[in-house]
Amino acid sequence: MYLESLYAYLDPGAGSLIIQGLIAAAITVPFLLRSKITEALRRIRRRD
Amino acid sequence: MADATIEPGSYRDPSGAVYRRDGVLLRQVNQVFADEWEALRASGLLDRLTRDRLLVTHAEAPLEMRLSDDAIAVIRPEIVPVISYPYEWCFSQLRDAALLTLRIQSLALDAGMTLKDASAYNVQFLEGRPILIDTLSFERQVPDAPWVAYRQFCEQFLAPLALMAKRDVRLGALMRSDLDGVPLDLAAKLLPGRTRLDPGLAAHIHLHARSQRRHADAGATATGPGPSRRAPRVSSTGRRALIDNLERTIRALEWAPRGTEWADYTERTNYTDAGRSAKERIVVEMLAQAGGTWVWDLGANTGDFSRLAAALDRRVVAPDADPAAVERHYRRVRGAGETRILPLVMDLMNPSPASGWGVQERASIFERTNADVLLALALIHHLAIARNVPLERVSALFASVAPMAIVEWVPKDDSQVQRLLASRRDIFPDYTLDGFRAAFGRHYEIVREAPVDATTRSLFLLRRQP
Repeated sequence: MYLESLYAYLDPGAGSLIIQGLIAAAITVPFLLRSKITEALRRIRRRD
Repeated sequence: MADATIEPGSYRDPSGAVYRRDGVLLRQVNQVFADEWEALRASGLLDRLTRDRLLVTHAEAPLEMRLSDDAIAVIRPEIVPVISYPYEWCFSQLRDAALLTLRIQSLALDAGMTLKDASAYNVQFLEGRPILIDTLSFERQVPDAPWVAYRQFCEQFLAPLALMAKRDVRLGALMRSDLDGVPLDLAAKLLPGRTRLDPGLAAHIHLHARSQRRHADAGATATGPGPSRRAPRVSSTGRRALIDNLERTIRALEWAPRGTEWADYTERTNYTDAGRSAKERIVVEMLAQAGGTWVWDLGANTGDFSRLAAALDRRVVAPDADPAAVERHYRRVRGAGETRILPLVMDLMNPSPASGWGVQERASIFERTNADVLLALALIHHLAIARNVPLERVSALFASVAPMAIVEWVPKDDSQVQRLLASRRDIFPDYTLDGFRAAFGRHYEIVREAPVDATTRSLFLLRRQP
């Protein structure tokens, strides 16, 4: 995917896109883990 | 058909334009946006957002009402009676607008769409709550594409909120000097060093600013036509994680409104219980006599009298210069579910000017004022004594804004005025009751003059001269 192929009437900024990719990569696993734990706790509470 | 007038702030997005025709506010959808518009309508997102009052409703309008030939549809958006700008919002208003934007982006992702911009100016306050007003802010989510509005969100919401919470709440005024938001390199410089230890602020502001600096010449290094640099892939989970992380970062930002002169002003007035009751009774009577729908309560502080007007079913705009007082007022309004009052941060000595492209993109506060009645209670002495504004000028400004006014006269022997004069020379020989009557008599007729029991003050109901 190239910067030019992103349809944006505003300039997303190359540096902003790059750091967004890095941040997203870094927080995806913790996010998934937290989501799974939250979901599990919800199920346990529902069972109670 | 009458000529259309394009809204001055509607020119950046090629998807469409907002304009008025025959006094009706309309939004045109352009041919270039046709596929996205169809996808948006088919996604069910519009229905969901309007049902939850996250987006203004709209009605279809005849294509004959279009602005130009490249229109594929015309819609009539729900009217927002008072337009306000982010630099007129207190901390919690901007925070609520940021959380609204993230909530909408989350729902958009659920529907296979995404916000293609995250402008704070696309959010307005309607019936006490923030609401998105730009129906064309969406496009289809491209698989693995990053969020193109990420930078704009950080500059228009996160950076000013972080500065207000971590450095000084008055830095929210930076939004007034740069309509695109607070540049992240500036925010990074102004924020305390300890914010580098906050994971959210470190990532979304400090590292973000550094990345911008490092890749600032990414386009300039391209040689010849064609793509110059690959954009990073962001998975659907990564996009959700990003929105979740931004929301957590925003929610963690807090600011307690205290320590300013005005936030506690109501508790420190010199009114006795009897005097205050008398004042409230007269204000209610005068509001009823003045009629109208819209009351602008100038110097509203935490909104005691705004609530009296709202109780009479008036719609109230409540500006005050002190961000702490407005913060407290907004929290009261929000906590009570009050839909008729809009608190705003505005200094009458330096009201929001027109700004942006052609000095028209954003209208001045007075171009947006729809007041039927002005309330100016315990305000005159601050303007005339503390800020040296001649009474005649105060009268002229009030008369230019609203046809009716309720003004409290605070005499020189009042302890609040004496406090203002304690540290300066009294250069105000005309600041007398007769001087007040003469100055306001140039622009108004006095409908009613009522001394307030148990005080030396008086309330005036004024009608603008024809």
